[in-house]
Amino acid sequence: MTGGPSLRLRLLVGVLAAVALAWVAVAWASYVQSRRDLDELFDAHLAQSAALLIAQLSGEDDDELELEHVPRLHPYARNVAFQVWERGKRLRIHSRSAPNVRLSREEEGFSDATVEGVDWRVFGAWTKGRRALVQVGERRDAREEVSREIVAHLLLPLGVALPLLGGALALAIAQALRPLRDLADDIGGRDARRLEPVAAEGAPREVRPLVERLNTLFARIAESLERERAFTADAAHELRTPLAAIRAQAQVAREATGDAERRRALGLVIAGCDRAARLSEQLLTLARLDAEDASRRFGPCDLAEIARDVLGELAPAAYGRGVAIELEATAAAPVHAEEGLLRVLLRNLADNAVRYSPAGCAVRVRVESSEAGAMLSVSDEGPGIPPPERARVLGRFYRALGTSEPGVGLGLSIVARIAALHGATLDLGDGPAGRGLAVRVRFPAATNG
Amino acid sequence: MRVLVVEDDPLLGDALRVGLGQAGFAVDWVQDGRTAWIALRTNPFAAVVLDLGLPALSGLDVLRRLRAERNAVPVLILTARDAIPDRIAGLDAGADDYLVKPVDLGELAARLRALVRRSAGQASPVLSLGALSLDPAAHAVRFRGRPVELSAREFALLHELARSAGRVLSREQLEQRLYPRGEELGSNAIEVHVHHLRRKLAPEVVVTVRGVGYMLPKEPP
Repeated sequence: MTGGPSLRLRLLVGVLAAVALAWVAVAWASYVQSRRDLDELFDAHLAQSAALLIAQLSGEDDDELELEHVPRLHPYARNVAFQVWERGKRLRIHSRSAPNVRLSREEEGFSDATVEGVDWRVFGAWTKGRRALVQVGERRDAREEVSREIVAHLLLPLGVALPLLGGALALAIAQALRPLRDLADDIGGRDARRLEPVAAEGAPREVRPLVERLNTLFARIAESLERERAFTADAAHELRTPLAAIRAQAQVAREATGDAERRRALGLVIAGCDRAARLSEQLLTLARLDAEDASRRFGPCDLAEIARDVLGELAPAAYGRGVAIELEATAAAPVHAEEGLLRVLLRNLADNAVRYSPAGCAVRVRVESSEAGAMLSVSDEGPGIPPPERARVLGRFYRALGTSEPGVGLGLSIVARIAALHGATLDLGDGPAGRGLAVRVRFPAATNG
Repeated sequence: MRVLVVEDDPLLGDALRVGLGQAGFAVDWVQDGRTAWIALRTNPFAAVVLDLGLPALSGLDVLRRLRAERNAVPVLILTARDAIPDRIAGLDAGADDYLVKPVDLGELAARLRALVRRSAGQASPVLSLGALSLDPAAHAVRFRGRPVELSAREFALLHELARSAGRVLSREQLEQRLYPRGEELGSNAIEVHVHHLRRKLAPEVVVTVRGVGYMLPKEPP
C-alpha cells in the first residue's frame, strides 16, 4: 500500500532523533563546561610552573639549570614551554619546545599570544629584583585536544547505543502496532457480505475509537444492504401479484362461455399488463433515484411553472373521473432542483390525490414562496390516511385499505426520495376541511450558488 | 361448494372469483383480513383461499384466530411469498395447503376439491352413495350405471347434499353453503333445483323432511 509514511518508520526516526539530539546537547554542555574547568586548571598549572621556576632561579646565583627532567614529564608537559629572559632582554634558558622569540609581549600575568603560527597561553612573572623574566606557555591546541577527547568519550557510546536502541525500538514498535495489523488482517480477510462488528474489547485504547467507528460504519452498511435486499425481494413479490392476475384473467377468458364474459376478462388482462408495466416503471425510477447523484444536474427552476405544466397534463384525465384540479400559484417560486425529478414528484402527488378522490371533489395544489423557501401542498377530499399509518405510507409498497385503485404503493416512496434528494421536508396532514389528505413539501430557499 | 377468496389485489381477486366460479365453486371475495374474519364467523365455507399480505388484519392473523376458535375449515394460502420460512410459518399457523403466485386456476380448483374431500375424511375423489356416484372434478354424475346431465346449480346442490349424506340440511343451510353473499336468489330456488334433481334422477333420491329440510340417504335406492 502506498500513501503516508510508515507509522513505524516515523516513530523510530522520531525517537532516535530525539535521543541523539539530547545526547549531543549533553555532550556539548559537557564540552563547554570541561573547557572552562580545563582552562582554570591549566592556568593554575602554568602559574605554579612559573612560580617554581622563579623559586629555583631566585634560590641560587648559578646560571645552570637542570633541564634533563623536562622530556620525562607527562605528555602534556611537552606542550608546556618556558623561557627565562635575563633582564627581560636576553634569552638565558628555555625549554626545548619553546621558540626563540618571546612568547608574549605581556610581561606579567596571563596572556594569549601567537608565535610562529602557534597559539600559546602564557604566564609571565619577574624574579625578585627584576633580574629575569620568566615566561611559561602552553600550546592552545593541547587544551583543544583534551577537550576533544572528552567529547569523543561522550559521543562514542552514542554511536554504539543508537543502533542498539534503534533495534530495540523497532521491535517494541512492531509489538505495539500488532493490534493494528491484526485489525487490518481481520478486515482484509472479510468479503462484502461479512459485516459483523470487529471485537473492540482487546483493542488498545488508541485503536478502540477506530474500531468503534468501523463497527458503526459496518452496522450502517449492513442496514442499508438489508434494506436493499428487502426492497429487491418486495419488488419481486409485488410483480408476482399482477402477473398472477394477468395469468388468471387470461385463463378466465379461455374458459369463458359467453362473449361478454370473455371480453371483460381480456380487458382485465390488459389492465393487469398496464399495471405491471407501471410498477416496473416506478421500480426503475426508484432504482435510478437510489443509484445516482442527481444534485449534479440541479439548476434554478420555477415550481409554480412546473406545477402549471404537470397539472395541465393531468387535468383531462381527472375531469374524466369527475375530479376538479385547482392550482393556486400567484407568484414564481424559485427552487434549486432538477426539473425532471420535480415533475415526477408533482405528477405522483397529484395523481395519487386524483385517484383517491371521489367524483365531484376537488384536488387543490398550492405553490407559495417566502424567505424560507418554496412550499408545495397537494390536498384532496378522499378517505385520507389515519395519523398512525402516515409514517408507513412513505415506506415502499404500502397501499391504503379498501382501495380498488390499481396503485402499486410506490408513489409516495418516490416522492419521499425526491424530496430528500432536494433537501426538502415532506409531511402528511389532514386536508383543508379536516377531511382527506394534504401532502406538504417544503423546499429550502434557492441560493444563488 | 362455497369458498371464500381473501385477496386484496382487485384484478387477481376478480380473476379468482370468476375463474373458480367457472370451475363450479360459489365464490365470496373479500379484500381485507377483518372482513374475511367476519365472513368466516358468519358463513359456512367449504374452503378458504387466503392471501397473506392483507390490509387491516394479516392473513396469518386470520388463520390463527380461525384455528384458535377451533374452526377447521380448510385453508389454502395463496401468496407471493415463496421463501421456505414463509411456507413453514403458514402451514404451522394452520394452513392446509400453500400455493405461490402465479397459480393455474385449474390446479387451484383441484387443490380446493382435494382439501374439501380430505376435510370430510373421504379417500376417493368420486363420491359413491349406493347407485349414485358423483365426480366433483369432472362435474359428472352417474345414476344406476347411466350418466346424468345436470346444470351447474343442480350439480352443486346434489354435491352439497351428497357431502352431508344421511343428514338433514335446511333450506337456509343449503342457501348459505351454495350461494355467495349478494347473489340474487328466488325464494324457492332450492325447491326448483330439488324438483329438477328428482326428475333427472329418481323422486326418492332426495328425501323431504317436512318442516325441516332435505336429505340424501346414505344408500339411495
